[in-house]
Amino acid sequence: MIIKKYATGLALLTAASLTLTACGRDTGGDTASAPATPAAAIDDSPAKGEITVWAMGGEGDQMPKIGEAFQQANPEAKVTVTGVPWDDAPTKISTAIASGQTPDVTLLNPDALAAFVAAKGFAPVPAGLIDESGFDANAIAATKIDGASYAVPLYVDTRTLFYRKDLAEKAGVSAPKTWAELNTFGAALKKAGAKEGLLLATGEAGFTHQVLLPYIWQAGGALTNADQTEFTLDTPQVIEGLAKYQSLVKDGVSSQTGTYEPWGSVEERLARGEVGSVVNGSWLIGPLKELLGDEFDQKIGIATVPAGAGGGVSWLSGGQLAVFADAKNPDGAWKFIRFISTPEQAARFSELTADLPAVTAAWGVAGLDQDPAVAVFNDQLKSTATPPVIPTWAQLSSIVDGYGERLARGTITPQDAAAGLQKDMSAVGLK
Amino acid sequence: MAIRKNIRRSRWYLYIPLLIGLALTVLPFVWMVSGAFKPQREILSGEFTLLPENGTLRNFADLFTRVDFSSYFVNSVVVAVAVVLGNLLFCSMLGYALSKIEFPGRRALFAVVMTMLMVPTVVTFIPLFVLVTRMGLANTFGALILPFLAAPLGVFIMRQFIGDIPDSLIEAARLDGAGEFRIFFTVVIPLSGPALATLAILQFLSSWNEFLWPLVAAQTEDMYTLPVGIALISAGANTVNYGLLLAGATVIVLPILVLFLFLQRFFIQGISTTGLK
Amino acid sequence: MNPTANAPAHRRRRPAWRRRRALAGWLLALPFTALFAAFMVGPLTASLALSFSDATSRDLRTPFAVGFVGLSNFADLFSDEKFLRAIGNTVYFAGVGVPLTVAVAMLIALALNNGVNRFRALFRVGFYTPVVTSIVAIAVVWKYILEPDGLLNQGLAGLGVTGPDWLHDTSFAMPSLILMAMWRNMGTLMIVFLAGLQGLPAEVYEAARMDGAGPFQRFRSLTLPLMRPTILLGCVLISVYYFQFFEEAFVMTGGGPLDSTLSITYFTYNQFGYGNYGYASAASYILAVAIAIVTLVQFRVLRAKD
Repeated sequence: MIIKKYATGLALLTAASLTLTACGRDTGGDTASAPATPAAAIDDSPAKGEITVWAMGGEGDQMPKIGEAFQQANPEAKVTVTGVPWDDAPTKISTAIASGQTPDVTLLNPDALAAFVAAKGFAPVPAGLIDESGFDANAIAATKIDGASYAVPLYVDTRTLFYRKDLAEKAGVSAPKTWAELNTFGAALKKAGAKEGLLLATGEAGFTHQVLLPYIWQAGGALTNADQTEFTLDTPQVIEGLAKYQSLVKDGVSSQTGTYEPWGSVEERLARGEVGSVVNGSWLIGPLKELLGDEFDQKIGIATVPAGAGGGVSWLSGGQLAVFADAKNPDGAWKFIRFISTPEQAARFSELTADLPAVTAAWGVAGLDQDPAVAVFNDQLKSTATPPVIPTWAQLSSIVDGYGERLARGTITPQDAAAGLQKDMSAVGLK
Repeated sequence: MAIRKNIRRSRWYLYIPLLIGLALTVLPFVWMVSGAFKPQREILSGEFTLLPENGTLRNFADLFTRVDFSSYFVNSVVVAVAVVLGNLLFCSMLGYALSKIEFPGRRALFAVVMTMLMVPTVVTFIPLFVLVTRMGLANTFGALILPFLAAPLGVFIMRQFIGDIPDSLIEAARLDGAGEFRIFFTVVIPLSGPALATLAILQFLSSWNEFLWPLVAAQTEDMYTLPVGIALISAGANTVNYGLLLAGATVIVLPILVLFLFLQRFFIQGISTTGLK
Repeated sequence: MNPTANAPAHRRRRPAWRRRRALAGWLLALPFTALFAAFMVGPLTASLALSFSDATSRDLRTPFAVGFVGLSNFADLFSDEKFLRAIGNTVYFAGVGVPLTVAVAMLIALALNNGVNRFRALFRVGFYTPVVTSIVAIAVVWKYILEPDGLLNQGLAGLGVTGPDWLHDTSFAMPSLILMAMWRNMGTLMIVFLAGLQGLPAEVYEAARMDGAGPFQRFRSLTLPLMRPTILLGCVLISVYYFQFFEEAFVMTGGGPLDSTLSITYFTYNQFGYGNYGYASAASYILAVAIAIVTLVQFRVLRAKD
């Protein structure tokens, strides 16, 4: 009885769905790659009206303070910041785009930008809004899609090598400058008492690729060709990078099941000496100083990542601000972004959040060049790379995660992994 | 039931495995509550401790000061109460109609409603949000409440329970000239206490814990509910504040446990009715 | 399935009271049906349409301008190694998890029902706490339990056994999650079973006792047959939930190691995250149909033995 009713219902639903989909895709050219119409320039008159901003986590906590300063300079404007949990920000942004009911501005990670731009969710940055040469060059590159810019970098996040200085001294080694030194360095730390010579993320969905890809870059490899039309993963350089990653496990420097989880425990494990060294971001400095107090300087060393044939390239991510295509107050939104990108405000935001400013001039204002620990990050920023800014990146990065896990477990050779990456990633595509 | 009690004897040897099982079962719960009183460093220390070494109220203080906790709490209560009351009324109305009134299309209706029990909610997420926005409901209590007012599980429970009410009672009321609505409110509702209590706690639990929908449907912080507010302050980009998270989880669970303690008698009766059908 | 099945004979000419009653029936059904149609059936229809389309995240703002691809999403899914793996994992999880959870919940319910008079409310609430404990707290504690030198392996070491690295071993990760799911869900089933046990007729047991039937015999020949409807209700409830297995893997293993705990719902969740909406919708409809079939089979088994 019920089955019969089911069948009728299903048939009805299917019929409805056919009518819906019969509208069909607009085949008039590949709209995603059509060049964006450059938006009108933003004038210098004061901003007016309400500007709604989504900002995540700690950044969302502090953003209202910049909003207040903006309101003082623009008395007719009002900045309303809504905090959003980091993990679920993509869901919130994509549903907002789908419904057309969006705020004006949102903070986001560079690796999510392209997908939202492909959905035509964001407006291009108006010409002349900011002086791009005043920003970190790779952070600017991560806002560009087909030549147009869709976001303004707010802060940068790169990774350096944190290590136990005391253990290194005990073992008689110093911070590794080259790939060749890295494995012996890690092994020496392990001998000196650390459980992990170098903590390596191996099976961490959504994160392993951030640790693995720099080895490919350090070997001189690249994920795609220069104009991003095809993948270039089965090259000797990529194989070499994958082999380096695998060698850390093979040589016993890193464990097969290394994990950065639970988040917040890396500094704890480093302070306890369980982890001898780890490649991580500047957010680690604050908690480590808190944990170690006066011992910080004698126990923790920070160095730029060891260089392979392609240099000491590190991961670059960060936060950028984008304006929604459906924003109600785009003029005010861009003016707010221009405001927070001035060296003074960028420096203030950096002081509030401990993020590293994407605006180069803000480093001096915030006194970041005075702190020896942070200075290493400044050096590292000269040698970074970002993943390609393409809409399929979320899926592509998960493929890298999968191969990273297999490499660490030794169930695949670097050669096979490179070939597999090339095949699987090409199947997903760059668009 | 009274007879049952006489023949039931206490068996002391059952207490030993049961107590061990109970200890294992409540362990994470106890750890959650105690973790709420621990500083972050102690939680991440890698040692498993049940009692906090350096007990602190800071997590709770942060919870109440760093975010607008009271307004999240009020929002959560408003939404949960509305969802519970709405479901109690609508599910029992439909449950009565399905089990005691003959009307064309009722079996098809029941079949369609049951089908919905099996569809994972993630599927309808985006279309639902687009719909709610097109209705002009984004960022209103309507958006938080309306999509949850028609719970298929509620219809299932109420239909089973009301089906057990003797037809003679209802026929007698009909012969007295009472209309169906009058019968519903004066005969059916007063007899459905246990099922209503069961439905109330199930709906309260799911509405109270709902996370993804309120996160998306509430577009400004003043419309956030408790789980969203807690996620907001406890999870950073590169670190998680476990103390805050556990304090939040503890505060969230308290109303549910209190409700469970008060309603558990009804709860058990309610399920037994649907279960034995 | 329903006593109203004999209605057609009377249908030709309905008396006025019948029409009035039918109208009242529809009026009573109306509020729920209207809400249900608007907020559930509507979005569901749209998502079903998605599953026959090539919609991706780039179509977010133009959901009707997508290409119709017929059954190709479904065809692709059944040749997608990851999806096939996810099916296998889900069947493994539910196939072992459902009977195990039902058995353990039944044991607890029996113990609480027969011979525990003191602190019953305490036991009930205690065994129910996992249902309401936050999943994050659960995840942290379970990681303490399951890590290589965690509580479980310390216990095993006491018995002279070297425990594996539960969550990082491809053969032990799934059993660990099954154990965890059992622990999380036995409280709900325990309550269902307790309710069923309390409704059993005491006189029958008294008679059996007089006839000299032992406790095990009474369980096998009385409790089990009498409880069959309740047990099957429990099976259905828990199966619907276990086939949508996701949360445990999400917080504990991320679907790993090497996809050994990737479930169908997890697969769907990932595909939604990648923006492959058409593909993801198709995957979740395959799951919905599978759950519907399992549920129907369980109801058939229930009725066949009645």
